[in-house]
Amino acid sequence: MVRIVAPALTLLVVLALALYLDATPPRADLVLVNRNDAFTLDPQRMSWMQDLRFASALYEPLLRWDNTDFSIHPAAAALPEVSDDHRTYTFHLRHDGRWSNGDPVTAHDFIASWRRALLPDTAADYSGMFMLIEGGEAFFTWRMQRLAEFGADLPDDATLITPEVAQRVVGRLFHLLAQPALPEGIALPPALDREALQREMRRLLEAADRSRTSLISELEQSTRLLEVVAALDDESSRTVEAHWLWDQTMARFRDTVRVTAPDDFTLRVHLARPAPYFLDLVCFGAFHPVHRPTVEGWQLNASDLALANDRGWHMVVPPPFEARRWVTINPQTARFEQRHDWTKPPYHVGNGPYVLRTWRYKRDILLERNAQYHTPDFARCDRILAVVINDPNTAVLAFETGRFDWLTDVSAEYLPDMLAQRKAYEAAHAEDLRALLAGGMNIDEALSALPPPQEGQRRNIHVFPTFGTDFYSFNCRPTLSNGHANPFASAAVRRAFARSIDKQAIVDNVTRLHEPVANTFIPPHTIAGYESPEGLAYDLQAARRELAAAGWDDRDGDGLIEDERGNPFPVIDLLYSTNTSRYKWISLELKAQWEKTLGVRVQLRGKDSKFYKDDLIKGDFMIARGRWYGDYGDPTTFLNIFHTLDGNNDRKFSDPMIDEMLEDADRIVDPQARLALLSEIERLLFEEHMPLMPICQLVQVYMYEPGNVHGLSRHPRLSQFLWQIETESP
Amino acid sequence: MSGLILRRLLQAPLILLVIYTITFTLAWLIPGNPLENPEGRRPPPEVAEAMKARYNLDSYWGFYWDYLANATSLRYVQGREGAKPFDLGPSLRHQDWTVNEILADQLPVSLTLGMLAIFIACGIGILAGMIGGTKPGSLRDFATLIVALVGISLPSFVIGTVLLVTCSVWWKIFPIASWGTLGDMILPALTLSLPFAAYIARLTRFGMIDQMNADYVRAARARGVGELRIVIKHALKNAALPVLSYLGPAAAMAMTGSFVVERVFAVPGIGQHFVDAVLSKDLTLIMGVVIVYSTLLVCFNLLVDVLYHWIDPRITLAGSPTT
Repeated sequence: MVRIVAPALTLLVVLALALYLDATPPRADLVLVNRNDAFTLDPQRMSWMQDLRFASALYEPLLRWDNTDFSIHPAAAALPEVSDDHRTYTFHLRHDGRWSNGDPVTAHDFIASWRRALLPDTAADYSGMFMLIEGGEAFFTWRMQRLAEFGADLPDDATLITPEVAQRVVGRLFHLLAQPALPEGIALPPALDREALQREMRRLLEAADRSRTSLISELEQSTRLLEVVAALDDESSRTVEAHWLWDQTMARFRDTVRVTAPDDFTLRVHLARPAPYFLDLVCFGAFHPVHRPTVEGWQLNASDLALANDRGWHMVVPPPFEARRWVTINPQTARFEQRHDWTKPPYHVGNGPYVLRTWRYKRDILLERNAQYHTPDFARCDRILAVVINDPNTAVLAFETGRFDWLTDVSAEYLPDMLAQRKAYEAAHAEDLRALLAGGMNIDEALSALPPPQEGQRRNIHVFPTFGTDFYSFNCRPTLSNGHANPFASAAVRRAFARSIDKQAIVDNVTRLHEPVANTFIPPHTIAGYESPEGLAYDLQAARRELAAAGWDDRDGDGLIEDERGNPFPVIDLLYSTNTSRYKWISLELKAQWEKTLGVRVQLRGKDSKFYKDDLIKGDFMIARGRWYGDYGDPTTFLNIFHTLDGNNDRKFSDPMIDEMLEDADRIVDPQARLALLSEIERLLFEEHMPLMPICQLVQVYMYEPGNVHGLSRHPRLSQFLWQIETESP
Repeated sequence: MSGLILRRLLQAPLILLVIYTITFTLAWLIPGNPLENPEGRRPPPEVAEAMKARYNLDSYWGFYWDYLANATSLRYVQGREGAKPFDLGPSLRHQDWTVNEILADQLPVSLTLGMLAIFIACGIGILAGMIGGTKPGSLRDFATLIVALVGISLPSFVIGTVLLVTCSVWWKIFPIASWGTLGDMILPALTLSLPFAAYIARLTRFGMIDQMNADYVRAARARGVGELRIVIKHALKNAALPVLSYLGPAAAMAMTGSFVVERVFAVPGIGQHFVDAVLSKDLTLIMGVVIVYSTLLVCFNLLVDVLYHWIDPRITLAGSPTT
């Protein structure tokens, strides 16, 4: 008997131990549920909405939006002085800004963070935003090119030497010879004497200063050089060159990218072109500052630490790479490689109203009020806990038990039924609700003033329109991937297809979320001062006329359309992704409508999102589903994807006039004239070219008890500030 | 005995290497790039290429050897700069985390859940098997059969959801989506345990039927030993042996195959994240979990074999000297 019981007892003891080691944190003032964990808490590498929400709590940018109307307000700096040509911005930082470790927040923090975002080595999703700064784009390209060259081996044939390689060779040698002693493992060929070589390199560098061609001719005469190069091409000398390239990169940024600190608390930015939305960008996640010694893991001695704490880290000499915990220079590739351990406690340092107390992978994030923050009572809640519940059904059930204040993403299959319950509740109290709203209450206040919902009603579900559009792309290439002619290369055909879809039926009967139907790409009334064009509304007669004018008509009366020679319209290959059922249902509805009204045949092709993306990039589709969210408060965040050269132009739409107009918009200083031009671009795109068919504005669905959660913004850009949210829960 | 253990231990690295190679090849063939988001703005192509190179995703053998060398501590032993022992690398999808951190945080959760489930399964299963097996063909035997059938055939997301709605939402006995106390674990462990309990019940029942007709039981009855004492003290001990041999694979399955239960109950275990990792081609996380789990499995199987021998010394193990 003992022999059977003993293993069982052991098991119990282990269990008890495991339970003991795994304690839950105490309840926070605000408990919210995210569907996904934050991918990163590093603002330069963020692109997901839940990540950006954390950024607003952990970091403080120079300026901050009012998230209800997206006007711009001071944050780490006062509103800047702007030069007459709208290209130079001077920010004055507040002097009491502190990092959570006590270091002062200075202009150098912003420069280092923006430099980090601009370095191709960081691979920031939004590095493109920083190219607005004069010199930014050139710096990015320069670094990319140097890294590409570094990867290539040095040629062992003098005739193959290009000016770039020559400069690299000479630079490496010069740098090497300037070291007090040659690094271990590097030996010069015996016939060479170091001083003579050094003189030679100096001569070569001087030649390079005169002109690149003179450097080449000098090199061709320098017979010994290739010998030396052959002797140097090993790991230690690559290391030396990689570090030398890094030093050069830092110097180049300082000399060519025009973001400077005239003093510790002044930041001056000079833009490559006037961009009225620059201040909007400055409020965006990628522009938030990070604390360089933390990000790089500097190990400083006590006196340097004290100095950094008193005046800022820019006062101390950056430690050598051996004394930086999280970053290295890869000798094989010369890349600046960063590990991201610093985004987790106990390392994380931020300058926002909250500090990061715990972060458990795909489990929870606990934020606590930052004691170092300049305005102590700025944040409403003391502690915020963000829990991850991936299963949409479990998330709703968990909310129903009352443990959570705010569910940030409701996507359960029965969501439409929950919305119907909300409708039923509003219908039951329609009169009272109208009166309360007329009395000046907002919708949440009004709802919470009404009696509690009955069976079959609910008031805790809330639909928020967002800054994004659901659409179907038309392939605009002249030929399809299989070599056949593409009927959708014709704008008339694209217009006809777009106008023949009853979108209201889709949002009412298929998605059943009643999203606002869209005939244009930029969600209306989301950008201040921007007038959206009309777009083309549902009009079946016009669609058929347009199709007939393009040569597609039912000539033989079989219900299908043909061209003049009697060839039927090709079977339409419609691509969608299968990661949610939403697009299967919408695609089926599109197929049904088009087959019924236009006399075409549609074949659906559902693919897992990875395959779907491959096909999208290869252009292997005729029509494909897509969605796009805007990033900043300017129409270009949507319209730029229609530029011929844009990396997200999956349709390969190309129109020289649109390209030219988009480029013109970059040069116009007057904001009104600029917005008018952009509006005209959108009109041309969605009343004439129709590169894609907008379906509806995307919505986000929240769950919270009205009256319990305050401070959520209803602006479609849906930038919720965690520090602004209050709850009434005990 | 010790010879057997030694032989098994020597076999283990070879088995693990084969598992590593096969899984890695399969995982490599998953389409997509874990470093990029499936939707939304795309980075410039050169940057994307450079990032692939940075994480060795541009070379099959490069990744294969590098990962193996880091995971087995070879790089650390060699004294490479920055190398750490048993380094499973950063997660490719969640680059702020290393696979070691993820496993350290979440593996204990999955193991706890699995062990608790097996514990419950043994309790329910053996009891049901005893009830049914002592009186085969009776109504109570039929009743346990029905319960076993339900346990085996109902998928765990159905059982889980039903338990959540009833016990948590309606009666508010257990919390939802919380992990840390025994109360949080009851529902997921119960859900996870049911298929195992059903199987154990059937195993015990057949064993009981066999033993209850054995000569020694009849002899005990003749001596006037009480029926309960016969069942527990004599018959069960022998009837439970097949259960024990099932427990090894069952424990491994419970600890590794709990991803559905983990998702439904929002248990922060490694199971559901492993599935996510496969879907997003997070190679380092996939390989880390596979290496750790296959090591555990190999150890479990060895442990069960040893236990088996310990409980019933008459049983000799294949390959061990018969003395």
